[in-house]
Amino acid sequence: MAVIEIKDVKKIYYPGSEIQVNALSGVNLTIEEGEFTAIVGPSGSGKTTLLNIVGGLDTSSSGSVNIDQTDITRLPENKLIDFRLHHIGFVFQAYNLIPVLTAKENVGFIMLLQKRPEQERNDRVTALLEEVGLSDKMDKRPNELSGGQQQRVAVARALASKPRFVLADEPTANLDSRSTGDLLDIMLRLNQEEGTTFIFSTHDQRVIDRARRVVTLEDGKIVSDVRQG
Amino acid sequence: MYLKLAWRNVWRNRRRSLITIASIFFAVLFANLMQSLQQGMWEKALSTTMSLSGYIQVQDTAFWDEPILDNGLVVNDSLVDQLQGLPNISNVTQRIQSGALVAHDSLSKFSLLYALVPSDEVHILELDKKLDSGSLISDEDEGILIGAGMARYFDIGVGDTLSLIGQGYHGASANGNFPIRGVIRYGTEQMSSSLVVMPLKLAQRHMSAPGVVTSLNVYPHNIDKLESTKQALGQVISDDHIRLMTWKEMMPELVQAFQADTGGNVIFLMVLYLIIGFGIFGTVLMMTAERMYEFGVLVSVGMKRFRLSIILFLETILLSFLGILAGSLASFPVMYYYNQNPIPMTGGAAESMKEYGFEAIIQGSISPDIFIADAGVVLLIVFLVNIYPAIVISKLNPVKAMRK
Ligand SMILES: Nc1ncnc2c1ncn2[C@@H]1O[C@H](COP(=O)(O)OP(=O)(O)OP(=O)(O)O)[C@@H](O)[C@H]1O
Ligand SMILES: [Mg+2]
Repeated sequence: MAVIEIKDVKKIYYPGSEIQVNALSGVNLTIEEGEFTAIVGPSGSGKTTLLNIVGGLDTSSSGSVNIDQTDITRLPENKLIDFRLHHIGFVFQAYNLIPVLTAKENVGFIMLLQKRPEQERNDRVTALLEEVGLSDKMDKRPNELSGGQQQRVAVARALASKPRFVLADEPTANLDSRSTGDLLDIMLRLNQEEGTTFIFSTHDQRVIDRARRVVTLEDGKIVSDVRQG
Repeated sequence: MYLKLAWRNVWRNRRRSLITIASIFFAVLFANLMQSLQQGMWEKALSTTMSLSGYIQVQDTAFWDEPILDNGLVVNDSLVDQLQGLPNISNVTQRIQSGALVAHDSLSKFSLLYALVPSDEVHILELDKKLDSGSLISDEDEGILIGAGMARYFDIGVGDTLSLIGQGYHGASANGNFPIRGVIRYGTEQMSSSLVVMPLKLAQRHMSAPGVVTSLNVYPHNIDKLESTKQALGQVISDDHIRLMTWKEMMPELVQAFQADTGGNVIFLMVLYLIIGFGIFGTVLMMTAERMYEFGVLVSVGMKRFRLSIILFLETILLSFLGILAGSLASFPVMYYYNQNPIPMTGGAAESMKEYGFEAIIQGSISPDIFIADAGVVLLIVFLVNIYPAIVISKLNPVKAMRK
């Protein structure tokens, strides 16, 4: 079943001017439930732009992005915020967490925004932090955690809202190879055991190697789409 | 949870928060102290003036334009008792206020005659504290008190006799000799040199005016409820020939002087509040600017902008609240101290105070209004200052906010 259907999405900066940039020039892509997709390509090829549009953080110049039959390019801003809260999990490159909240509170915060009851929040937060291997760090604040641990908390937070899929723009860019491997292990396990759909961008060949599907962008166009593993 | 988040954010930059709290603390402290002294000075000045006039006077309608005994009121004790029994009434006193010529040997001068019931008024006028020599007079006394200035003018004192020559009620003459029981220091130099205080009963006999007063002076418990008290009195009295006047109606120039004096302070306070305002604004500006990335993350993952603004608002409220609390707690003991130990004034200021008939002291006020007003203004500032981050957050573009 398709979770995301991207149809002819274009993103043009400064249209009509001399410095017009075609960040995306007609992208078509369908993401199925349970896929583990890496978006790759050289710097400036449009990876971040694509992920931002799919996540409803940025607007496209044309085209549509259907998530479970909802065209999010047509949602007004306030509905879009709610849509993100309930349907999409986000992991950013760095500084994902609220510095004054503990790991546990950071993960629980998203469920608080969803107005989930306290009991459910506590149970799920504990389970998720266990899943990402941080049971012993639940009460630590971000500055007491390593970069890799912070990204693991971010993954736990992204999953806390029970989203349809998780978007991650270069989640391992700031990590050493060991932390990168650990994070990828966790993401893969969540993908295989829980069926969580992941879409992430990366430059790292070792990460690309472990992806199940690799979509390559060049100059804002998809130039290859390969399923592997 | 929001409160917890706000609280922790406040302490994220401990030093900056402490500086902000300190600035609010000092501003509240200064504002409170200044207002305490100023308001205290006026409270004192008013109570001195009002002790003589009452806060509300009951007069015959003709008396205001032509203040003579013939335009007085005939009252009986039951009316006075009835008025006394109304809510918010502390005292209703009977007075005859009139002019008379006083003479001793070959000297004479004009005097202001205050006839009153000594047992009612000693504590209101604080005559016991103002007695220079001799003794006070009783209700049934046949003698008088005079001002220290008058004693000096005639070169007389306790035990001497003074002649009063004046108009009695409805054409009767009112001449008599009265022994001086005591000399009091009261009011301005001019007042002191023309003051004669006489028991009411003696004056009514002297002027052939039994039961006549020129005014009933009313002293309420709560002087902020003048108008409602006046209305209550009016309902009991309802007589076309009787008029009720509050001190504000009787002494509009005093009201103006009060407004002029506080007006100057308003400017000072505005400057003070402006300084706090910019202090808080600076902090809010930094709190907002340095957290754009974080706001970007929060909006991205689905936090409503409105809620984010609420958290920032809570943060400033907490900061200000701590400052206000500390400032109020610190100013109260100082205000209380100057309330209990008034500061004596010196030099020109003291002279001009005396000229107005006020005591030359500054006594701190501990009125809760002062605290409430300051807290209110600071909260208002917080509201205004928070408009900025609210706008920033409402316009925030998460993608831009998170681009480094
Ligand atoms: N706000 C913007 N204004 C103008 N041009 C932009 C803007 N954001 C991105 N671009 C341009 O759009 C193109 C795609 O950028 P994008 O950030 O999506 O690339 P990327 O594949 O994520 O690159 P990287 O691997 O370096 O992260 C680039 O040419 C970039 O310069
Ligand atoms: Mg990028």
